Amino acid sequence: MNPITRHEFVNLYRSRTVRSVASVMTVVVMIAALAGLVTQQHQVQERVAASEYARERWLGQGAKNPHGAAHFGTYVFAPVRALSGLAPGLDEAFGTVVRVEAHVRTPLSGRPMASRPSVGPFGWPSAVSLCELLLPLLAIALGHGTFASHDGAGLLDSVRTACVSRVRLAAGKLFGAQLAMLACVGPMLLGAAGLAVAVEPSTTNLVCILGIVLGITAYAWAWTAVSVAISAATERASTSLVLASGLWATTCLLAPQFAAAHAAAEHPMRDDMSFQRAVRDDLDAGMDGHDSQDARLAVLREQVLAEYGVARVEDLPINFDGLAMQAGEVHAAEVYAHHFDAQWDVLAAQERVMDRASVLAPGLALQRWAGALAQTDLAHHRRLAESVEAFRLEWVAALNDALVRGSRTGDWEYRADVELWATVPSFVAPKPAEIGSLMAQAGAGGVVLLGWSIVAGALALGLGVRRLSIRGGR
Amino acid sequence: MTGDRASPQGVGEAPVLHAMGLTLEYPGGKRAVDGLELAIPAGMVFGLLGANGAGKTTTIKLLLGLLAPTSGRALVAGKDVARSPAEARRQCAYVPELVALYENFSGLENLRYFAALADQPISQDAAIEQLRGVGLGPDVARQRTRHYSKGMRQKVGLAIALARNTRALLLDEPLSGLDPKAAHDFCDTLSAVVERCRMAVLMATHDIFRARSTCTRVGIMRAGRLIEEVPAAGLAAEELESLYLRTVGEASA
Repeated sequence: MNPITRHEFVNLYRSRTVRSVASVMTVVVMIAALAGLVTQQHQVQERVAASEYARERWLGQGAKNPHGAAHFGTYVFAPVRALSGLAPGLDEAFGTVVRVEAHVRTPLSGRPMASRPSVGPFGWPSAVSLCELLLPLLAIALGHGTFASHDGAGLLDSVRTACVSRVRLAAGKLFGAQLAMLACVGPMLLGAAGLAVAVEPSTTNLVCILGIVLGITAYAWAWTAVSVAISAATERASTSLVLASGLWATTCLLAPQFAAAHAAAEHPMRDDMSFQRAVRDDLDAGMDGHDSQDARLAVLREQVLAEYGVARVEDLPINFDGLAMQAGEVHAAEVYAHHFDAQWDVLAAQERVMDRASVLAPGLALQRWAGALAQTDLAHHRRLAESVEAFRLEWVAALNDALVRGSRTGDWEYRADVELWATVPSFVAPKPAEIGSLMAQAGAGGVVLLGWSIVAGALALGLGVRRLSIRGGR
Repeated sequence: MTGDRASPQGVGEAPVLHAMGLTLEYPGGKRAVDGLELAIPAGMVFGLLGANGAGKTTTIKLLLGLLAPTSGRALVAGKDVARSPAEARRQCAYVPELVALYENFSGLENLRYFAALADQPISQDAAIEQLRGVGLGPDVARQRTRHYSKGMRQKVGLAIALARNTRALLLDEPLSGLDPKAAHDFCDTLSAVVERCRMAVLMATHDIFRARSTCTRVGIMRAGRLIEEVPAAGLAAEELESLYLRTVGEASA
């Protein structure tokens, strides 16, 4: 190892301030990681129990008309991803449960109490969000004096006179600070990653948690380089500290808030009332399986009568009401898909705004990266919501088919046997995405983190070399 | 009483430290160093006296290449500091007024690090001997320098400078803040080292009495110019003080 790098590293590592900040951060992040993993395990058990209860409730509903059962409904619970304990992403924003019922598509609902503002002003911070917030402070503690305080103490003059190349010296200082950062956060990150993999061991989880650790490391590298660059550009360590802290407050506290507000203003979500009204208007414009006077239903009726060669629906060997329900369901599904897709597209547009803002606030890039790899981001929730809707349509179609085949038109007294409920499909959660597609989703965040790391590193090196240059007179 | 700069002690030898019309002018026209002529051969300790702001520290920084002159030349062992800064610095060690050391390292570790930086790596045992040579025992040498007194730091600074085996040594007010015993010890060590290594030494100082007893020649600076230069040997302390006060007094008048 370059002796300058080693020396700068040891110098920082021996600093009481650095060790104090690193120790506090390690304790806080490890507590958050443990709490997150315990919560995640609790949620897994809770949702398994809730799913079992929903299944029992469904199977135990007794003999019933299949369409009545479709209104009796069931519940689908969002699967808890293995790494959501460390990087919960949007989990708490989207809720945990979907009610599945005929004619109605409902969004995920039921946010856990822990995320409610009444619990605390910051909710329940995750390990990743704490890293996002606290790592820059550790980087500032490590880097703010690298050039500024050494110059103030005369150390830069001492090393300048030792005939060392400026590039070698600046690089040694930068890498020494980076190595100290790695020594401070490495054990903490690997510890948290080890815990997460131990909870649910799998290759995908291992690769994803290593990806998250890599993202956090790049974030830490970028902030350390920024801190060193500011130190190289300022005369005094106190100025460097103030400037770096100001940058932290701007990019970590203010910028994400402004970005979110700007995203919401540029791509506003429909409010619930207007959303429901628009859906209702479009539903009313199409076929209603319950409305026997509907003109489009009359066309379907004529087609079916012609197909079976009978004059009246009462003469059909099947229950036309079931066909009508299914036709209405298909129309409703199209309406819901149109409106829900529009809402998801708005969220995706907001996410693109946040991606652009992450160029100025790398913490947003870390959120994007970690959320994608932990499968707690927007794309994951959209995929889940769409798979729940696909299940709902399959489930309603099965019940309508039971009504069509099990009874005759107008026979609303028909009761299906309880055995039917076990033959209706159950929800199967979408399999965790492949590593390749996760990486592709995380790409935007990864590119920004990489860009910050390269630019900040180059800036630190360039400004460091300039700081070590000979100052001239007139 | 202007000294004979053309024939300092060590006459006939090429100067190791050489300033020729050395000038540093700041934006606004103020000259920190103004046409300085100085020639210090091997084995000579040249004491640079002058009031605060006279240009002593700037002169040292110009000779070290930490500042670039606006005109004139500075040579160290024949190497032009502006044109070949690395080669010139390789022959030039420096002890500042406040020796800057890494606070989280011991004196021993600081010595070894700075020696390694200068491509003069030194073993643990040799470093302990080097520090002992400047009056710092092994126990103290192993303590972190944040606990060091100023005198102890000066000793480490001198040890670092000596470890580089250079031909020139620049000292910027090394006695400032030292108690009389520490200042005496420092000067004794310096004299012994110069005798042993035959280095060319430029020492900026405010201590007229130590300058007289330690230096071969003494120069007095005022407003960036070397006004007086005299041999220290045979000069009574009162005479040097009188000369100094007269020179500085002329500046204040």
